[in-house]
Amino acid sequence: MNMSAKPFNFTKGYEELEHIVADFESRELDLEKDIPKFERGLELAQKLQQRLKEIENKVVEIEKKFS
Amino acid sequence: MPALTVTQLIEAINATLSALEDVVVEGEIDEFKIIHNKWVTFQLKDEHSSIGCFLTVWQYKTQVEDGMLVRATGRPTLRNKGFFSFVVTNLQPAGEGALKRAFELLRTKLMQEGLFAAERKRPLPRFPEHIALITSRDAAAYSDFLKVLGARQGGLQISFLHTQVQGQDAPPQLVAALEHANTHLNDLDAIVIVRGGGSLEDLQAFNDETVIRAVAASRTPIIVGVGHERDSTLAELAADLRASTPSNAAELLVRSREELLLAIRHLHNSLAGQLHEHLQQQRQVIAAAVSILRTRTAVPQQRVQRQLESLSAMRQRLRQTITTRTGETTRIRHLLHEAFHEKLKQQYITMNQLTRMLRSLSPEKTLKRGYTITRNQRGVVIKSARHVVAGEEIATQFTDGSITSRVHGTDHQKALAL
Repeated sequence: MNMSAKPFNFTKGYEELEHIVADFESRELDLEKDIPKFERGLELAQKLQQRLKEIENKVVEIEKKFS
Repeated sequence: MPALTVTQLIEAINATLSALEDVVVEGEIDEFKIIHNKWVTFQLKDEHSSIGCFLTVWQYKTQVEDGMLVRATGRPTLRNKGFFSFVVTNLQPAGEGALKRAFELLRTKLMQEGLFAAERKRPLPRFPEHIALITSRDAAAYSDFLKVLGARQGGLQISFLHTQVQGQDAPPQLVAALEHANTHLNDLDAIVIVRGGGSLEDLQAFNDETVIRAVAASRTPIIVGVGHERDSTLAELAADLRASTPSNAAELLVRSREELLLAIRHLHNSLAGQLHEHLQQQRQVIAAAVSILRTRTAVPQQRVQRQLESLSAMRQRLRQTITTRTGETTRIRHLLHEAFHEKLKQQYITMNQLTRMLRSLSPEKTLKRGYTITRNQRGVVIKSARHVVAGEEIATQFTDGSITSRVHGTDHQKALAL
């Protein structure tokens, strides 16, 4: 399974998006400076949505006898 | 027959007794004592008999009290001092009543320790991605949990640790699995322990003190969901979050993809809205600036236009003036010319008249009419009798010659009477 390498961390992505939104809501925007941030936000939203499109969960059984 | 030592005798008896292996004895507890927090002793009895029991506190994993019916697993042993003891390896309350009582006793004890305190509870991660699942692979709870989890979210990594969830082996396996999850699994977000419903006896592993303590000590946030809605085990109380069922554990653990998609869309919209609003504001600012610029630049433009217009009007007027004045000049020149000409004419006439008059007034004509001109010796015309003295020689001019005469006398009184 090559899904084990997860390049995108959902929690970090979501928190970063929330942070950008909160930041935008808290102040006046500077178009020049904020356009890259805005684009980053859109990218994050897209990645998060993409991640939620995954159907299967990966179950790995730990091969160990517990006693 | 050679004599045995006392020790040998005891050893021989114990060897014989060991053939009994582990015996399970059910009886009622009496004279229960914990000595120096190391040993536990009690009498196990029924209506007719009684036997002394012994176990270490490490093996004492439940809470019993006098009068409680228990099932003790152990080995009958003859001690060195010669008294008989039933060495217990496992002690379990027997029967529903005893189990309930044990449950209550342990609950009270652990509660007093603060093991179930709300302030010990940690929040679960918002978006767990790597989850350790501890349960039996044969249990319905296993498939229930995974089914509900899969319905809510995909792309999650689940490390499954198989253990027994019932019986004597369950508690040590659960403890070992918990330890393994906490120490060997990387980037673990949460641990989930689930088991389906059952009788209090079936769920006993989750009321086992070692299991409860292991749950409470888990370094990774943990959810325990055991049994049905009504069932409650102490392991659940010790967990960070208690799930009512295995399915509920999945529901509590991860938010549904619909809910998350909605939240993400909300964030996305908010982001886009902020930018849109900002652009709208900027557009208004620019529009206002353009409008200001327009009025500001329009003023000089108008002024220049006005000045150009007035300049043109002035030129026009000037041209007109020049034209008018030129005409006037011509006319004036003409008038002047005429006037001058007239004047000349008049002067010419006057001169003619004057010439005629002069001519008429010339001394020759006067002389002709009988008048004479008298001059003194210096040639000066004598106009008054006073300018002549007696004896003076004077010359009188006539129209046809002159005479000289000597003055005899003068009379100033007599004027010419004409």
